[in-house]
Amino acid sequence: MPATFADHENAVEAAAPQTLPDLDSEEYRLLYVPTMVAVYTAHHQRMPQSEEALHRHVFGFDGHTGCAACHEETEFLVAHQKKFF
Amino acid sequence: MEPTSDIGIVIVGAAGDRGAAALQILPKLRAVEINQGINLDLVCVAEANEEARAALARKAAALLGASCSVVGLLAEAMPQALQWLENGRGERKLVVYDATPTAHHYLHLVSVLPHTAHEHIYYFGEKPLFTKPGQIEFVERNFPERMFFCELIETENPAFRAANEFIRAEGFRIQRMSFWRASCMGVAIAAGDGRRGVEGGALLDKAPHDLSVAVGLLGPRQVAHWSVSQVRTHLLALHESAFQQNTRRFLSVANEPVDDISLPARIPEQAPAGGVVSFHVDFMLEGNVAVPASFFGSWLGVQNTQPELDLSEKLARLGVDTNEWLNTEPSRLSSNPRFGYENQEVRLALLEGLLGSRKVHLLLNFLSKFEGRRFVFLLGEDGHRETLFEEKDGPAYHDKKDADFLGVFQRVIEHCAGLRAAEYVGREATLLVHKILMSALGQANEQLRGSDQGEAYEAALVAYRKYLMPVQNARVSRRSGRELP
Repeated sequence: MPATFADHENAVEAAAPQTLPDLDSEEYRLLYVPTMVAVYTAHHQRMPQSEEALHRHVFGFDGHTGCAACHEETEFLVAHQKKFF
Repeated sequence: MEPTSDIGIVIVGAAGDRGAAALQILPKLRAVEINQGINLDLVCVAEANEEARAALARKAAALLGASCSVVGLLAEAMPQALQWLENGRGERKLVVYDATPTAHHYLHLVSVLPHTAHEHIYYFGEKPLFTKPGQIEFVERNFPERMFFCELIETENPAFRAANEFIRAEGFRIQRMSFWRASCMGVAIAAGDGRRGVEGGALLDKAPHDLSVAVGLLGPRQVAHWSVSQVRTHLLALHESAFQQNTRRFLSVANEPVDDISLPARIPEQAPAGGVVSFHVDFMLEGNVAVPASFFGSWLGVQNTQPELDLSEKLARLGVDTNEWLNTEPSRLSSNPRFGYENQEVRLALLEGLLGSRKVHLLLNFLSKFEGRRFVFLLGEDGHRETLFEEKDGPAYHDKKDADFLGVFQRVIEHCAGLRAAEYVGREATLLVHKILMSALGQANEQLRGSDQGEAYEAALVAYRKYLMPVQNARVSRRSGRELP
């Protein structure tokens, strides 16, 4: 498993085409952020530097693809939590 | 742990089976803890299901005589928890009880752990807390020494307590342990009646209980090393669509359908769930004492696999009759109502060891459902039997389970209050149990890659048919769900 965000950015496969969650929504703040933290920490063994960095890692930025593993697992766990709504 | 007399509680997943149980036991827990000088306050409950929230607020008010804030998710409850702690000017502590489905436990744990050291918020979750080795590594590396708890409820079972007391008082030396835990949860799920949030398959759902008993009886601090071997998934769990649409669909550990098990799961939650699983653990204790242990878990009742036959035979040789440990529930109709299904359950531990120089066995029965009762027998090789503990008539199963749950909650609260250590459910025991579990899970997943999924599916179908049948063949009443004469 790559050790740093930069290493990881170079190593990950391209994430699937994605619909970005609305960053201003309650769903993003209450559901996506804690889920992304959990997925990221288990994969990369460190706390994300910031919420913004975490978002960029999972969903990509400026034409860079995000981390496919973190993205896929985040979406799965968010959907799984929504099953109980 | 610094002492405190003011402890707050947040329940997450409050409308589910265990969340509701937590709410239900709070008045009793509060009464017990008042005698210890601890004041308990229900700060907030969280429930994702919006429709259930109004009823939860009414229930909390009725049970505790005061209104309580009800929110949706832990992330919404945390600010309220922090405010409650701040109002106590550093004198208070707070326990977050997590009764949400397994897949959400770790994300809640890592939401709470950053607040444990300074704000004194402690995580207490249903088992299993971890489902991936990376989760354990992260917590160990980034939150060393931070306390958290897992609801390893069997360590409050009176059979465990009685056996543990006997082992320590009489100097019983454990030489070998065998565990057998079976229910028909997989069958209930296939029938469409799975309990909300119960997921993981036989390994993740069953093994934490028996591992906690093994670790508890050996002493969590006595285990110097361990290794897992002989992991075998005898049968896989199937998704309900396998029966309702006659399509080949396995069940994932997150209770989702899995069509193809020949490929590695893209994410761990999509790995197939075991229906019947066994594994072996070699415990090496301080002082170079080796204790081998075998574990058998089933979501598909009793299937007469070799480990089951071996243990049944051993019990018969020791003079223990099947009806003393096999618990059978009459057939019932599924709520959809397309299936009739049966339930058989086993929860046994057999410990071989030395009492002085005499070879003896301790048999622990943890289950009191249906006609069964909990007991601990001391069994000699010559067929001699001594009853160390036996539950006579008493409360119903759910009352007994709630009593055990109350015991676990009490230990957690009193640990946080600085009164006594919650040795069997605290960080050390929890991590050990989950590390062994992850090792077994990793090996089980590895083995699946080479398996023939057609054969695996057919074998699972045969196993399910022992307990699950379409309603036209079922001997159950449509109206009452009772078995027909």
